[in-house]
Amino acid sequence: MEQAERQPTDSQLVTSFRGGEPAAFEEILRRYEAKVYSLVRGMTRNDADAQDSLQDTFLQVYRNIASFKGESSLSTWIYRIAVNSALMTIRKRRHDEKSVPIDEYMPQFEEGGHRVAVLPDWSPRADDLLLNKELATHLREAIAALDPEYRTVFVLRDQEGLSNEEVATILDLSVPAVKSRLHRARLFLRERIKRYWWGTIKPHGMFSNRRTGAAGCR
Amino acid sequence: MKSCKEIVDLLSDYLEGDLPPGELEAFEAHMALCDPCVDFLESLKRTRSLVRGLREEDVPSEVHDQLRSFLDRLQGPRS
Repeated sequence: MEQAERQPTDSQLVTSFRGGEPAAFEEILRRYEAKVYSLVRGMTRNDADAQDSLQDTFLQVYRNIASFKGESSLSTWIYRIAVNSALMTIRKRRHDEKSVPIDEYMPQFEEGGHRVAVLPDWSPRADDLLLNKELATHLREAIAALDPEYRTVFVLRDQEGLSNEEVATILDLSVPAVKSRLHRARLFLRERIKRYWWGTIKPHGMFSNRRTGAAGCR
Repeated sequence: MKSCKEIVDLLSDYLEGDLPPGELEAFEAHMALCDPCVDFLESLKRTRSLVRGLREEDVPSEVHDQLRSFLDRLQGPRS
């Protein structure tokens, strides 16, 4: 029976590169370019910033791989470089960042713990995103409005699909801290979508009242 | 009986299957009697599905090409 060609592991590639094989770096790049791009694009929410962060990440990987000690996995190490690079990029343009106070979008409760819901709970189905570009635009804006400390956790966990433990290692946070930030980020986005859907948020002034007459159905 | 506020705090853990058995039982007991919390959970699930659809899957070709030429310059001429 034919055996599938065995791919070198990440740590074998690191060893090969240190041993003077440039092709090993090519393979590292091939494995991680799209992952890093998706991460930094998700964090910076901007094409030019994502391109800068991508380039900066691989520059640092190239320069520092000789000192990579292997205490964490190569992927964790690369993600950490990428996160720091993206955060630096975000800080540089902080003056025009539009983070929204997250507490304004947390659910409100009465004294007995019952929720105060001004609008009914509703959010579109995943299929709707494909059909509704305006909704996708709004959702991207909502993610961009998250404070970077929440956005970073959210992108790593819910968009890139890393585990809570991996995110905690990359960001040097405890797992409960990751879970707490993630939960608040999800609640924020849920509320933003809900308000958008019921017409109480205007994305780029594109519409006024989206669901006239429906808001009374509680 | 847990309050809605306590239930909302547990929603992400529930979605990820991280609730310990005792908490899960209390969570489900509340959900069986509270339609607003069921709706809230459903909307949170949908939010997660929606954002997954926004992931940038591909590196734009011009970004890829520029990274390649940048790294080629960095590595210098090869023999």
